[in-house]
Amino acid sequence: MAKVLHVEDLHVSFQVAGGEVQAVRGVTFTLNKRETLAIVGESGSGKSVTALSILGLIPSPPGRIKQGKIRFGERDLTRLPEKEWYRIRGSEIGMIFQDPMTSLNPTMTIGKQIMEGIRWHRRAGWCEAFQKAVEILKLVGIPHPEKRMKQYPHEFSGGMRQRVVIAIALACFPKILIADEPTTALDVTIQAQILDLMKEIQRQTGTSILMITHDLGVVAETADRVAVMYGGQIVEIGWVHEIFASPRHPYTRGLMGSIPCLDKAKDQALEPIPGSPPDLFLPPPGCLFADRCPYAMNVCYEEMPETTHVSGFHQVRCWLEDPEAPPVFPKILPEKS
Amino acid sequence: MLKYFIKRFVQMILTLWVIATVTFFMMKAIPGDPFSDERKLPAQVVANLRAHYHLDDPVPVQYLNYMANLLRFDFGPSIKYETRSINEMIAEGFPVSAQLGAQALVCAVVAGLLLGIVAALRHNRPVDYLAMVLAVLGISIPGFVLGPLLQKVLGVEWELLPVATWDGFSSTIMPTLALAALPLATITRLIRSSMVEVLTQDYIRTARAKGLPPFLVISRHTLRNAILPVVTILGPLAVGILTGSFVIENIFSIPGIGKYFVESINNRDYPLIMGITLFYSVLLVGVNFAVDLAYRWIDPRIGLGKREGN
Repeated sequence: MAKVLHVEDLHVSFQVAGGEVQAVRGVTFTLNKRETLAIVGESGSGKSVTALSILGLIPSPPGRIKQGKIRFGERDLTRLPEKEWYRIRGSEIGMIFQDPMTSLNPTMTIGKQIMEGIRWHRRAGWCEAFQKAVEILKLVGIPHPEKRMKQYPHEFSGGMRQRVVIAIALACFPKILIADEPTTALDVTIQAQILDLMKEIQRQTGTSILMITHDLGVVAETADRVAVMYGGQIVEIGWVHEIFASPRHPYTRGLMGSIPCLDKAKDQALEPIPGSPPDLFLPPPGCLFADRCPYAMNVCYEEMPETTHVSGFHQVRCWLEDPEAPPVFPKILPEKS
Repeated sequence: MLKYFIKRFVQMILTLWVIATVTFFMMKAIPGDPFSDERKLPAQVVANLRAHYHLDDPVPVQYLNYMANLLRFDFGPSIKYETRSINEMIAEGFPVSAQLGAQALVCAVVAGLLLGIVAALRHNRPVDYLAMVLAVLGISIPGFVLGPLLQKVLGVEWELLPVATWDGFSSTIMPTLALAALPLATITRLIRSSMVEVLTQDYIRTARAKGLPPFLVISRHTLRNAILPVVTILGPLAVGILTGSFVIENIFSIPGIGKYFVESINNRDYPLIMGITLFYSVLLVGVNFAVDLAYRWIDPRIGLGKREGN
């Protein structure tokens, strides 16, 4: 498969009063052509910061990429001068934001907001840009696009606005679409429509999608591969069917266990992960999940686990994968073999 | 749209009628009349004068007569300046006041916007702090203090500008500054805080994610949204400049309407008080209407009348 984007050992820190918060601590992954990679994690896990660094939109100061590479084609995006970003953002990498209610400029017609990117990147005239914008509105499923072009965001419903946000990200048919929780702010019925739309767009345009989400339902629905982030690191990555069928990291198992499930008996309570997310201000030397992990061993508190290949694409960052670790999971979840 | 204009026009007429009525009766409630001077006039003379100006009629009759004249746009003659009509005096004084007011407003808006925008873009850096110090000074020093201060420093000590004449552009500089200081400072603070807020909005991030360079992000996406609160306050600011000009015109002895207005109250020059009050009311109502229209033009979310977006 052709690589589109390769993130290698990415570290991002935010300077705050009295020190720095290490939001991303060594993230490595690859995004292939025409695939959807989901990054799952709870708030503060560093998934959004990872996405923003791919677009060079880390607010700086206080944020800073401290280490690592983001390979996009021939270029390393971490070293890109600001001027060259203007050619990449929106043109080669597009971003879909979370909240369609606030992501659109309230005083500009949506037509102008879509055409803006086309005119800037493609040096297109007004008529050409208008035609292209109408086509894109058709593509994202907005009826009467010519009429809608002249309307303002407040004249659209939430779902329709999210379609407009997608249209803006799509305006120049970028190679990569980064979707930061694209359905979180929407009604459940609309969520499914938007996810279907994104899959359809991917089929038609061949773009790669990086889906940032905390919703495992969205992952199952859309992604080919999934990376689970915790405390600024990817703790497990692999094909969606692998991860859902046999999660290896205790955190991933915790995530799966906290999903409500119709098969379970009514009186069986959900199993939340105990404890709270780690403090990234002064992270401990060992595994960040150790405090909340039911299988934590001494070594987990002292040393950071390395990434272990379980099979082909499936990688886990956990001491339990060490040959010397006791085999815990088969005893606990024997039915999921 | 037309319906909205008609509705607003009727409202404006009503407002003006209320202002005229209230002013009329308040004015009549002030003790004394135009002829209660230090020089004692013979009783018969005063009676004749009162009869000449119809001041001996019952107040309601005077009111009705005055309103009837107003409908013909006739403010009547001045009592103090017997040979001149109010219309003439306004026509003579207004261009001067208007020039001063317009200069002050333009100066306040342009300089205020520039200073505020620069401060917002250099948020929490020296330029920002300097702009804020200037703004606080401008808000706290009243025009009647700033005016004489400018006269003393620029006029008397450095001899750069004429102290108190109305002759050519150089003589307008100090009164304009004195008049513009307060609105300028207000606009600076307002645009700065609203820019800082708009810059953190999600749609600014969307604009940056489109790949637009900072210049376009600021000019197309930030300014238009940040300017809304400034437009809202433009009406009251224009009012402030108008009323402020009464004081400033007196300090700099400028032959505008403001001087007549202060005099007219001291003299109980009834027609002149009414005439100038109504003239300013028309101006203010008009300015507010213009601001409403501008607001609607800048922010499409605000509908005119009942024509709402669906």
